[in-house]
Amino acid sequence: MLKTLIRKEIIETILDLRFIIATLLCVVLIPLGMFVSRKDYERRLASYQWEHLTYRQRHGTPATPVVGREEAQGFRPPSILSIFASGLDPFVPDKVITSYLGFFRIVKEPGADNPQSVLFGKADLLFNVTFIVSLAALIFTFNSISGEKQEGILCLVIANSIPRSRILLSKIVGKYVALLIPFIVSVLIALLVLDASPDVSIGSSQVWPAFLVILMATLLFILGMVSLGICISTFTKHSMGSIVLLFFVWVMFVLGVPKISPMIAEIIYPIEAGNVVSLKKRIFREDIEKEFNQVKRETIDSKQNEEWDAAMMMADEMAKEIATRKRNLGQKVSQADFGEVNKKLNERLREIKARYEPQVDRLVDECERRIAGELKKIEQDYRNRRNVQFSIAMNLARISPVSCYAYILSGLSGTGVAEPDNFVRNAQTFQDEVKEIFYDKVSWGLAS
Amino acid sequence: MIWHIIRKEISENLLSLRFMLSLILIISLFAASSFIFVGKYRQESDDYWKKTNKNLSDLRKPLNRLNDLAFHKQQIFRKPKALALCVEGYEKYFPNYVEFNIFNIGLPEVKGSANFTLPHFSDVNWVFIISLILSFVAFVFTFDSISGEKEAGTLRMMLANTIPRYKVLLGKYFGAMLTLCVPFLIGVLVSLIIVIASNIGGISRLQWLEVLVVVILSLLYLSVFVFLGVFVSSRATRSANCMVVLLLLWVCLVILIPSLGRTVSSMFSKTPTRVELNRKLSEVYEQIWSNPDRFGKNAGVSFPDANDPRMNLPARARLYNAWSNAKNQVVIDHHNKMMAQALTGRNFTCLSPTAVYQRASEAITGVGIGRCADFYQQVKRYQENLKEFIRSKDAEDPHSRHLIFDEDNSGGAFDWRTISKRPVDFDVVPKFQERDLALGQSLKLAIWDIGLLVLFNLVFFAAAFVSFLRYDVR
Repeated sequence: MLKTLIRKEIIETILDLRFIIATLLCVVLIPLGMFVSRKDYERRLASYQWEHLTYRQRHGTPATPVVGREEAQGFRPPSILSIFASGLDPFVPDKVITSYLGFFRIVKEPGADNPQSVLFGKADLLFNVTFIVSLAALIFTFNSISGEKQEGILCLVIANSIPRSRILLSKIVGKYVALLIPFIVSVLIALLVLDASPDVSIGSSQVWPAFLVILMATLLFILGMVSLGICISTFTKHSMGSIVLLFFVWVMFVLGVPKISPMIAEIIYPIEAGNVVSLKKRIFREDIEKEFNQVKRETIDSKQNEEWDAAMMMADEMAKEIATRKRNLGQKVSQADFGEVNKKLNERLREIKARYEPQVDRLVDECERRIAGELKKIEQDYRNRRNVQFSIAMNLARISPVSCYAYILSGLSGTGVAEPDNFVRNAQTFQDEVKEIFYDKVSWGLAS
Repeated sequence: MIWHIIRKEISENLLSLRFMLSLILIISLFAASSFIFVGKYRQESDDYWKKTNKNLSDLRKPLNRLNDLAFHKQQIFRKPKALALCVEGYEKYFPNYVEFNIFNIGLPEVKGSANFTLPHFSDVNWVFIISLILSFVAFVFTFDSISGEKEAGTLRMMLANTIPRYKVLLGKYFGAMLTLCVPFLIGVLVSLIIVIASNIGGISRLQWLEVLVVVILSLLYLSVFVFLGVFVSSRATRSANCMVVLLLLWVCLVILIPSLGRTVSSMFSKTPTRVELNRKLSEVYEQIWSNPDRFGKNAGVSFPDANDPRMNLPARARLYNAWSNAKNQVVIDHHNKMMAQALTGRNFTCLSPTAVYQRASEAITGVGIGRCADFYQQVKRYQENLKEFIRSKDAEDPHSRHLIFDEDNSGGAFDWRTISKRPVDFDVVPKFQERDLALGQSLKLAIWDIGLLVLFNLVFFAAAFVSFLRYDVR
């Protein structure tokens, strides 16, 4: 009996106008979205490869003489799986710059922000499934119980002593299978579109295991939406009531909860804006530099200037002595007579400079280390606070199955919320490696 | 008679579950969006004024010498707008900051104020609520306006009473519109009360006018969906089928077509990339510096002492100015290409009343991509004014060589004296001030979109009218 009911549901759905419209939408939009995402990935990959190549050509070998303060750069490649869910990929920094002080910088290249990706949003699999396929699921199921009740079919079916659980199960399975037909067809077409790319191979070990998991998650999500549609249908007496209620629930799950939860998180746990933190860092750096400049003036510059003045006075006196001697001998004083004095003066000035230079370098070094340390603390604190805010938003958003699905997909695609911290960890590893193979091996004569 | 029909429609709608649900949803969304907006606007205003005042205080530092002012880099930020309450236009993700001196201007950048790990959707604002939620509510109120009455048998009884069909149609249209106005206007009122009560700053007369225009635009937009709902209802025999078709139409018009703008712009125009930008800048460098002597003898060679007989400062100035101009042109072209591609996609999306409505609202309130492009133009004009000011002040100094170019050798043992070293009064230095467009100019920008919305109304009204005239009411 269950098989009969399932077959009935599938045939009914397939022969309906809704199935044709849903099939058309899926078959057109999912491959098209894949094409756009693929092009976008190819562009970002080309950009990454060009930067990497240019950097290696220009800076692969440090120019001599090596002073030990050279900066190494590392680049983040675009995630191949971002084709399926672009997530946070456009926002995460893409370059790390090391420093001999032990503190790295992460930067996002300016001038690459293309307004069209913001204006029009994404066209990836995540978008198509959460908006189009989920809506198709609701359209297929809104009148599955209430519609049959209105027409009187439901009481006839139940009068045949079929358990209600079996009826419900047959509806869920039947509608689910009917919806999977256009979805699977469109995914297969989309995979063909993807495989046509020279930069993407579906069979590679980077892609197919993650893609399988993504597909499982997607099938589970579609099952959830089908079940939701049938659930709402059981609450109402008329199919019109079902569709209205379903639409409101859909709006809340797809648009309302994902948008409102970050806003609530910002109210519960407000953090400073990113540019305020940048301003804070700038002001902090200026204050420390001012402080160090004052220390330099008081401890080094004053002594250096004293010695400098003493040397100048001595040179002056020597020059006067020579001039007086020459006049006494009745000879003309010329520039050449002071040659020896100038030579001795220059030697003395060089000697004074050489004596104080290591102290200046040590002070500058200490200043830079302190600035870098403090800035790193500010950044880390901001990052921690930002992550706390995001966890609150994430936990609130989990009320919606759409948000749960979005987090799974973006996490699997390497474009999720863990990606910024992951990049920072990798950047630290890179910094440590460069320190071990380069900075520690180069000496520039400063006492540590 | 038409008033009876309108009254009947309104009372039926007001007593239905869908009206209650819509009212609660819409008022909650309007209230929530206003509360969020107030908090964000306060923070954004504080940030903006801190940064602007820092920029101004930094501008005071180099005023001891005109030369230092010429090389001083300013950072200009875009001002937050109060009317982002009505439509935000994705502004928080667009570039909002430009760094420049009188020689070079950078690409506008995003100095992120948002936590980018949070979902980067547009905020919930009026245009979002109206374009997404209210448009569907319009369908919910009209999907069974004709087909539902046919199924119930009341339509043939009504028309048996020699009521002209057009009166029935207009009665249904006005009934639905007036019903929609209830949650919409209550929502707008609640939103405005929250914003005014929070004291974030007064709304000027011009801004009130802009709000009024946005409200009128919104009614025009909703009218499109009411006509469309009535039209589809007059084509269907069953309300269930009508609802399905309307739902799919809603998905296409409100979500799909606006998103397809990206696909279209990718297919018809090439995305300008960072790689290309850097390549072009390298090419420009090679072009200029491979043969510097075409700008004059020894243009490419620099000596610390400007009095060195080998030094040719005027030629060097020509070389540097050519290089700065070429670099700036590359940057500006890149920026223009990005804008053009985005606008190509946007032009395609005018098939959707939602995209047209959003564009018109952004033009009226002065937000969105248009404003970002205008902001960059304003900064470029300011850069030109500042350069002219420095040129005129430099001309007053007989000790200066009057060579304004991007190489500073005013420190150290030698001073080229290319730009005057005289101090400048802060009060006479031009300062950047972002200008908003007058309402008349904003309306001019939005006129095509307003025209399109009117056209949509006329087309769907005509379609509904013709369809209903031929509708079989039995």
